[in-house]
Amino acid sequence: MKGLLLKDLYLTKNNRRLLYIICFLAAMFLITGMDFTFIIGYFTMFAAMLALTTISYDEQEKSSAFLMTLPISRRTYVAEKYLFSFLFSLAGWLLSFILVAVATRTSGLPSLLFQSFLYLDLSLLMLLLLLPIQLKFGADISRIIIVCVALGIVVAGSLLGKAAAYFHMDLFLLKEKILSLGQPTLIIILILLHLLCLGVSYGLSVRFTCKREY
Amino acid sequence: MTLRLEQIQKNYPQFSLHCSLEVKEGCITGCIGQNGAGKSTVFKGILGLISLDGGDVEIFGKPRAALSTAEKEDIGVVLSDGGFHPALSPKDIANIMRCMYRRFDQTAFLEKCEQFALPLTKRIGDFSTGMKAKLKILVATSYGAKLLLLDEPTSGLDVLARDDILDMLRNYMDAGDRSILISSHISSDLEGLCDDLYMLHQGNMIFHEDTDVLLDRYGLMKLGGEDYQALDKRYIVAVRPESFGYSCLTNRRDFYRTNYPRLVIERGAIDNVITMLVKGEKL
Repeated sequence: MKGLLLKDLYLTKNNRRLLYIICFLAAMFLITGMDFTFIIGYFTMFAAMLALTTISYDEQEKSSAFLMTLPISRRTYVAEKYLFSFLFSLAGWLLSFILVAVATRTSGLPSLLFQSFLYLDLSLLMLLLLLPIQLKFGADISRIIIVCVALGIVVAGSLLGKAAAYFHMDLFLLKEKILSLGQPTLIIILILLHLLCLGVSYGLSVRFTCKREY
Repeated sequence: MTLRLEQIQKNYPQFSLHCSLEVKEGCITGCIGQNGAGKSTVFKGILGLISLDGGDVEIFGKPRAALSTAEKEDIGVVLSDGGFHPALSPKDIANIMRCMYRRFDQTAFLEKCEQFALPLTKRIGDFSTGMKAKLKILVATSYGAKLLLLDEPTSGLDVLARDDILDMLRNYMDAGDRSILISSHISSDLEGLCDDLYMLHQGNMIFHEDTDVLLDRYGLMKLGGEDYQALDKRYIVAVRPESFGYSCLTNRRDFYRTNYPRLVIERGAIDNVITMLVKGEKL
């Protein structure tokens, strides 16, 4: 696992030119007074995508076939991809949060922390969706699938809204009911939902990788 | 037995592999065949990179799937078309290998890289074909693996680079308890290196023999139609009609040399055997 993490770190380091460009853009956002939470979200999402590209790197020059001959199991390979992606996203989030906090000397740190944490959560959920797709289909086909999934989510949302209207369901009332459960209950539900997503995503990734032929 | 393949099978729409093979401790076993014969499929089957449709793979006396991580550290691999990512440098690889293999000797690895003029901090994507091949062998031999699985390690190399690699492998065998399975479509590489040879053709093992036996006892005879009719065919392995008459492959060169002193008999060579077995008729 440690060897794989190191490999992915070296491969990501290879993308440092892109990292410089992103840092430059983030600095521009800061100077032009753009929303701080957006800058942190931007950095975090970028870190998540950068971590995800290590799967594409493994596909190049048939590296992944060779990696499977090393003393690691396919499950370890998948677990490492999740760990690396999460850690890298977390590092991106933490770094951008500190940079924004220092550069702006903002007084509303708790509020900034809460808002930017939502971006971190969104990045992690995005990874849970994209990791199995990337491991199953590779980088090229994944792009098409990701567009289809995004479109599917929009269509599903729209259909849900129409269905609610058709069945005379009050979505606002539903929201109120959910909020009335209280913060501790909501947090527990959210944590359980995240764990469920993680379990499904990881399970699919292991299944895809174990069945794969190199 | 270090490695044993028992009737392994893999079926693709236009290709099927059926083969058995053994690699003994302390031996170098060669697997030779034309491009597309199925050599890489054999290696992928051994390494579990593809699922097999039948048969068993045993490594160190255990089913491959039952090998522990520690036992996997006793296997060194060179794939014909895969390796570490080209963006990595030998120094990066050394650091990664140190975390992967408990017996990896980083100092010795880096020293050998320098000895073979491989720049430590240069991307391996910028290496020549020969340098990449040497690095792959250095990686596979850097942690004292008891079994090396080398798929076409000399492919695309010039004579001198091939010679360097074969020397590295000979030196590696000095430890005594090590074994190598090596594939190539270049017969001369295997002739001077292997203890025994398997020949693969269209997914089937068509021949297995000790290299010494092949070189000492096998021979190719070229004879006219009348001589062929009069020939004792007990020790003829394969016959091929030619414009001048017949080419015959024998596994008892001495018999024909003694009993048919007029016949022209060439010494046994892998190329002769392959040509006769593939293009000739087996008797």
